[in-house]
Amino acid sequence: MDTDNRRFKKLFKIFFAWQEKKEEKWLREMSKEGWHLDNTSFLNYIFRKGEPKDMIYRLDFKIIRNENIDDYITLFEDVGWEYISRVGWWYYFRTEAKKGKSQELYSDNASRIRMYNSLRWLLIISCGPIVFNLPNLYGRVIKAIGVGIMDDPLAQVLILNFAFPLAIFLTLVLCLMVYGIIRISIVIKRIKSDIRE
Amino acid sequence: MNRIKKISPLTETTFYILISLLEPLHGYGIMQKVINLSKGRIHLGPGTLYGALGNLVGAGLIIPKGSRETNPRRKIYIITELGKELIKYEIHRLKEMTQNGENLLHEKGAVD
Repeated sequence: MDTDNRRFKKLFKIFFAWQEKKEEKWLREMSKEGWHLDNTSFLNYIFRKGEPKDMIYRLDFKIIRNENIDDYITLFEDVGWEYISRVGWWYYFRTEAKKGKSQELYSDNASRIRMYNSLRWLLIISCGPIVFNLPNLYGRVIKAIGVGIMDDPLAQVLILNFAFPLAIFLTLVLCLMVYGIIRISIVIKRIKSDIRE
Repeated sequence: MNRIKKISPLTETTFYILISLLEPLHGYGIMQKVINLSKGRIHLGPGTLYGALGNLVGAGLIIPKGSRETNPRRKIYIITELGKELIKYEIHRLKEMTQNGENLLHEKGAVD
């Protein structure tokens, strides 16, 4: 794969969990230019050079057991969706853009809301360990900063150089996750305001 | 009966999936059947169908059938007795709904 650089292209790009529509659009644009998604891993996209084609990409978030993945993918393939790869619980599918052909994985609002709800739950649960550890971490940092109260200078250095940046980093991650939860909640609310089922 | 009342009302999609499974079918078969029954009006998305099948199994309304004769990758499902009872209950509810609609339309003179 890495031997022929002209046929493959590897890109690093960040999309957050609540930006899957943006990601789908980007992948479609790439396909129109002849770069078709070949494989994905965390934040990495490998494209294969081919004929430019209008392809619709869809990401599905689904928490399923390994033994059910075959069954799940087969169902999508049966109705014309090509499975590309997965990143965590995100599954990447594509199909050729054609008039009159359904381009959505979800055909009613109830199931659409279910998908976003499970994504939101995952984010909420993932916040848990951070929320649990932050007070302790900040407590130590404050203690260390507190005018040399600590008897052990080495411990103070360690905490200021290690625990403090870590605390800041985790706080940022937490903010990002809370932001994501809010964004997904807005999407859910918008779908719910639709009068259709 | 209480259990059924708790599950009702089904969405249109779920109702169609459930009545399709009065005969054993796999996912793709269900999609085709629902398209036929609804005269092309309802095209189930694969995400919607997969999720609905999981929920229906979880609620005990359908079960995966043991035999995987044609293709081991495709699960075949069939309705349960509870599922059949729910269908009857839903039909009753939907009849009441359409009857009320028709009656009121006539009464208020909106229909000739």
